[in-house]
Amino acid sequence: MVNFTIDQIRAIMDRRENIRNMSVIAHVDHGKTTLSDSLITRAGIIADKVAGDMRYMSTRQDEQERGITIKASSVSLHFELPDKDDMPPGCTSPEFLINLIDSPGHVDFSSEVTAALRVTDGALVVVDCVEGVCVQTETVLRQAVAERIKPVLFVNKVDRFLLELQLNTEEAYISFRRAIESVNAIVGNMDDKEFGDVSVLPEKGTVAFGSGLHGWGFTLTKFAKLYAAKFGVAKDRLMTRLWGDNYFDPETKKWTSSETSASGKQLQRTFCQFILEPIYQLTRAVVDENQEKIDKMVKNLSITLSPDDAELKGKQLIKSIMRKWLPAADAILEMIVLHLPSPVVAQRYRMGHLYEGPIDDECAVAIKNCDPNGPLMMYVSKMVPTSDKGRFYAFGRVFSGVIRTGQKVRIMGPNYVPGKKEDLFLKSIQRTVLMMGRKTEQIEDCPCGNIVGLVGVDQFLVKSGTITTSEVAHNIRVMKFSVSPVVRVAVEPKNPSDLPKLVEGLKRLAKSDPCVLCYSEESGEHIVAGAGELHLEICLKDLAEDHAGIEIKTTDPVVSFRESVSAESSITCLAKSANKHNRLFVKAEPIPMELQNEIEAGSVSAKDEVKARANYLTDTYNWDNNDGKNIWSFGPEGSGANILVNVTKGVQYLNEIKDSFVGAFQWATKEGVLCDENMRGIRFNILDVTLHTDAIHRGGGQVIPTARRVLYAAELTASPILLEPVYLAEITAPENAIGGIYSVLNRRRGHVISEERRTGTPLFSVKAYLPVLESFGFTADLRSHTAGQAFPQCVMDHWNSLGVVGVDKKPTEVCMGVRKRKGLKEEMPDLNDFHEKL
Amino acid sequence: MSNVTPAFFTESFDKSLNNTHSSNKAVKSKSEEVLDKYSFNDYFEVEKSIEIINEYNFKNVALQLPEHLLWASQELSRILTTQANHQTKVYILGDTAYGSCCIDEVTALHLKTDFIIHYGHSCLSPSSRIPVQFVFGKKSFDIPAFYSTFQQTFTNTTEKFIIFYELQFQHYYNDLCQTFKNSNNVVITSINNFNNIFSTKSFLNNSSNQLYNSNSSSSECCSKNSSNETTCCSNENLSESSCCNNSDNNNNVIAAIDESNLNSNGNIFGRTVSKEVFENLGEYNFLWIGGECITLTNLLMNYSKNCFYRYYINGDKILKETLPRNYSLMKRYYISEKCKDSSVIGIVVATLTVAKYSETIDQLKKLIISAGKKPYVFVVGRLNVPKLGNFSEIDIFVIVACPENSLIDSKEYYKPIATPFELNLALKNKNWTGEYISDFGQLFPTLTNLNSDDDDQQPIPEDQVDDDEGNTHHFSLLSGKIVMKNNRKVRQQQLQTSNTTTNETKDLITTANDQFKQLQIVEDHLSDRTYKGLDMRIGETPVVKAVQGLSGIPMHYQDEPNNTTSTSNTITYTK
Repeated sequence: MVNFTIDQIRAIMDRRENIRNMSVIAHVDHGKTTLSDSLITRAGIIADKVAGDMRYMSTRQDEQERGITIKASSVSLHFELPDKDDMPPGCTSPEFLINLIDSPGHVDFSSEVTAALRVTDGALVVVDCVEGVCVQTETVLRQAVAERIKPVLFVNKVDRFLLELQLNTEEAYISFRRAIESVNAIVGNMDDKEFGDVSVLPEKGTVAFGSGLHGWGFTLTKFAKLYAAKFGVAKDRLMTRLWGDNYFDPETKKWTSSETSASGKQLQRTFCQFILEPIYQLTRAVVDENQEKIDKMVKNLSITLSPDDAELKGKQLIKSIMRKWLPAADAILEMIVLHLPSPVVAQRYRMGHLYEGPIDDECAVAIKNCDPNGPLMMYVSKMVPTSDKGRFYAFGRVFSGVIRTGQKVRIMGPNYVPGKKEDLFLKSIQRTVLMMGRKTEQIEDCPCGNIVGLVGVDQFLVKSGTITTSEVAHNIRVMKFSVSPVVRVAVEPKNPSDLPKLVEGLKRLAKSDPCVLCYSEESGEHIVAGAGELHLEICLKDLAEDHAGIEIKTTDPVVSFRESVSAESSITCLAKSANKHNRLFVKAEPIPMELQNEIEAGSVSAKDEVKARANYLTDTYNWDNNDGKNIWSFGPEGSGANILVNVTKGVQYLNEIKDSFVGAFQWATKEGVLCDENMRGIRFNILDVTLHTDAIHRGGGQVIPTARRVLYAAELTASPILLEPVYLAEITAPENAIGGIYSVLNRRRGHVISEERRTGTPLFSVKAYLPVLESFGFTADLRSHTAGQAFPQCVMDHWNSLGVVGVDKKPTEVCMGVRKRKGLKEEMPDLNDFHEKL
Repeated sequence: MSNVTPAFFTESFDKSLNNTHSSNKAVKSKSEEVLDKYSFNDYFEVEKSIEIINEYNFKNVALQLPEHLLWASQELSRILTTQANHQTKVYILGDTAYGSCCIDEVTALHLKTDFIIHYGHSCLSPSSRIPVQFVFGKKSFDIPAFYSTFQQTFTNTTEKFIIFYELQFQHYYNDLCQTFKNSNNVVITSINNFNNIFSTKSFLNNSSNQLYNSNSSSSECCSKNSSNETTCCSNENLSESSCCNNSDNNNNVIAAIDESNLNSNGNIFGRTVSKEVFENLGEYNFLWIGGECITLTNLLMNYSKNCFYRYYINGDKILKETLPRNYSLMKRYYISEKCKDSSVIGIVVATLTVAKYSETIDQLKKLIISAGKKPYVFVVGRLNVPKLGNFSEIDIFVIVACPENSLIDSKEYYKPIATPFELNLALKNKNWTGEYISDFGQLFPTLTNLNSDDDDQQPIPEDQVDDDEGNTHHFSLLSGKIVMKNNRKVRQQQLQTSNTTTNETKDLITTANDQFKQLQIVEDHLSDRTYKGLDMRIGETPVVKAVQGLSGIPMHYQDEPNNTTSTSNTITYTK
């Protein structure tokens, strides 16, 4: 193993063409971390003894114990191209710096993947060749492409084909092809001209095959080089012939695309014949303990086995021979270096997606060119806990300029608007560090294109943000997560006087995870919300043990609901102000689900230009154009999927009460009348308003409570419904477990939407909708009913109506349950409290 | 001869109107309902009042009755005027501007009364100016039954108990003392029916020091409720009331009282216990006799570490009382956290009686300014939602009121209402250890500590940091954002100025820098508004001569047709 000093690494950091920032993404248990480990073992790591230290990238104890990755962790690798001729254009040195981020595969931690993708330019997608592309592979792959991250593929666990499943070469080829095709199906349908084609193709060298566990792997390049001399064909041409429907006819000594030879004999695919066959033969020889054959082959491959290795038998022997013959790390690192873009290349097309500001200001140009002399632009994508309790490294990527210790920077949070002071902080950088798995190394400065950790800015950022030196800089776009925190628990300290500690702990927890949501509710409850049960479990454990350091009590997980309406208000609702001089008339009606989603995705929002938005609403949702122009507000929080529309005509002084009315709307939509949950998908139409002629009698005090009441009345009269979140669950299991899956799903109000067999495997994959409300303990339940064979992955998918509250039994029960938990009166709110007679 | 006083606000306008219209029959049924089995004179302790009036020669007596007792006012004033010796004038105070539990000194002072008789529920907050007799009314309960239940429930005699009871059981005090005279582990709180009666000048001039002395010596903890009820009117009361009148004295007194023996006379929400009991309150279990009320909630909040039991009169059972405590404490903590995030804070004055209220307001103002926030003071009379809703620029209100009116827990208010304790906790970055003080009088010494609190000595919360401009920030769990707190440099300058500020110039002098900052806060609010005043349209509208505007009161302008508002609103409030 080569040891490198920090200075050497630092030197490469300046050569932007020689940097590769990449993340390893995959479905859970497809072998990311094991693969990363083998890369680390191979590559030069700064003075650290990693030999035999498995799961180097699993920095936490619970990660090691559970064998899953929870937090993404980063490491910098050094790699020198063995063959200088292969050097990608623009590179001046065969030395490369690879910043590798290992990400978690469990769907609950997808947010970590999102944070990792943001700072990298390429992704190594690992797919288990037996299980194929799974739901999480798909999710993260989509995200990667949306972020304009270029993927390369590693088809993992090929050893299982040889040893466990004993597939023949053709069958193996088919399942490889299927894995590659499914990846391309996801990345290929992207219509993105700037980004270009990102399909992974074995013949281009962007797919590697191998076994992370056994530490071997290869790309077609490796074999093409081997055979190039033998056949006298150029390497590149040979590569295209080594994949797909290509055959070699030994009779005519010609390459052909027909399955049969000139004499009509069945031919073996080139891939099988030249690549898989030698591997199979070697394996068979070892399994059969055919010592003679082994020796011969080893000699042919010019591998020298050490005396220790020669003693080995069976699997161990295969492992050690294959490692020597086809080292995985070399193949993968080479693939990364050759086929993933350098920051210079990547930022040219990523800039448009990254930067919120105009595409021709100084920051945009600097990002586009990855200009070390431009203004500093850095995006902090997550916080990494330091050994110093409660403090964090701000982990992120420098997109332009150079960040150095002591530099004065502007820290801009997600709510920063150029020209305003909100969410803007000025501060000096205390230290810049290089993140090396569990360790950090201090560096003086860090030029653009690199991934770096900062000390001393964590307290100005909640989870992520932009750091710049330019005063005109806009934010770098905030990350969109594929998961949302839908499972919540309320936490309280065992000892009431520990409350401040709990609050401090919650603040730390909020920072330490990109997705977790910690907040205090008006009731005084402290809420922790996570993406799923596992996520929540880990968060609570961290909270109790690390962040707060106190004993905590947690309630049962609760689900957040949304209050909505299913019809137009049956009557025009009226509320009079306390002084009886002002009257507000309002009706509520539902907003179509598509529009709700668009609002939540931000494609229709309060920030849009009014006329354009009105036209869009008219065209797409048949809104009256005038109504579209008279949208007063979106809520809650100014951005939620509820709309307040002023449809009045010629009301005097109306603009005076707009602020009060909007304030009341924000308030009402945040705490709906049914059970204090957020509203979703309600359009409130202000039909008429009568106001007192004296300004003093139509002030906020008169209008705000009245408006709130009338909005509540409108909600109550419009057949109010409760929406519950629904998971899309994907369950992989062998055929005999399907019955168990169905019975568990049935009991939990779930319903199956698709069931298909994974070709070439005995596994079935079942997709089902499962209400989050019923999902607690689902995994365990499923395991016990299928003898541990079924494994589910749940992703929040959509909101579904439970039914009309007060009419149907289920939603009314749920509503009362929520009211009870919140300490509200356990009865349906009475319309007469809100609506008044004329 | 009963005089009607102009009431500022009544609890609810409509109701009181109905009361005046109600027939004698209604009064009768109501009186039966209230009086229980007691006679009118017994219930309202008329004899006692007459005795006092005669003894101290009070000329003008004010009767303060809450809404539900107003029906008795005429009868009371009749009895008092006819049976008192002197030419005593009796006034009936309709209802107060704040809460019926507080003594309405201001109205009484307007009438130049020298004695107030307060009927009904009271918060027992110390008042400063006029002597007061409290008449709580009476309710009956079965002492032997209670005693046996008590014995059955608590067999362990080493456990210490302190008994609180609803005000209306106050007349059982002696019986309770008698019942528990053999149980050393039980302490019964006493309630003083009189306030200030010996501290008034008239009294002192009467050279009754002797009486005072003898009383204070005999008033251990459970002083006898003798005929003239001169119980614990100890030193503390005296000095407290004097310190209110004399602010020079103030600081000395305050300095002498540190937090531990703040109310060394053992005053717990107007209930008295001996000093030694008070100092070891932590060892006691609390037992409450009666129904659920604000006093109980207050006790639960303030002594959250003690064990609480409640005796249910109706069910004759003793149960542990825990339920809302943690919950409500957390709620209050939330509000306290909210104070940290606010930049404009409204101080709502909801008492003009409780001792030291004006000093407290001044201290709160200083506290708010020193935290880089902007204070406004509001006097709105009785709180209601529309009144506070008019000030949408205010981020949070802090209420200065008697303990029973301080904890406002309503979802209806647009902005939350904090107590001085919570504000103090938040703005001084104190670590909250689970205690709670709802009485701002007890908090006052801590408030005045403002100047001595050195910034450097205080542990700064870890999430709070300074940026290069000297602004402090912290991460708020409520909004999930980083909130800018204040400018430290400015704060120090302010502290210096506020140190030099004399009592005479209580209007706070602020530095130019600070003013700029406060302007910024205002500017931020204004920039968020969409309506910024009338659209003038200069040159677009024709010039017209001035015309006659509206006249009359807004309820019904004179030129409006006479059919819009309901007729009941136009009746003026007379009695």
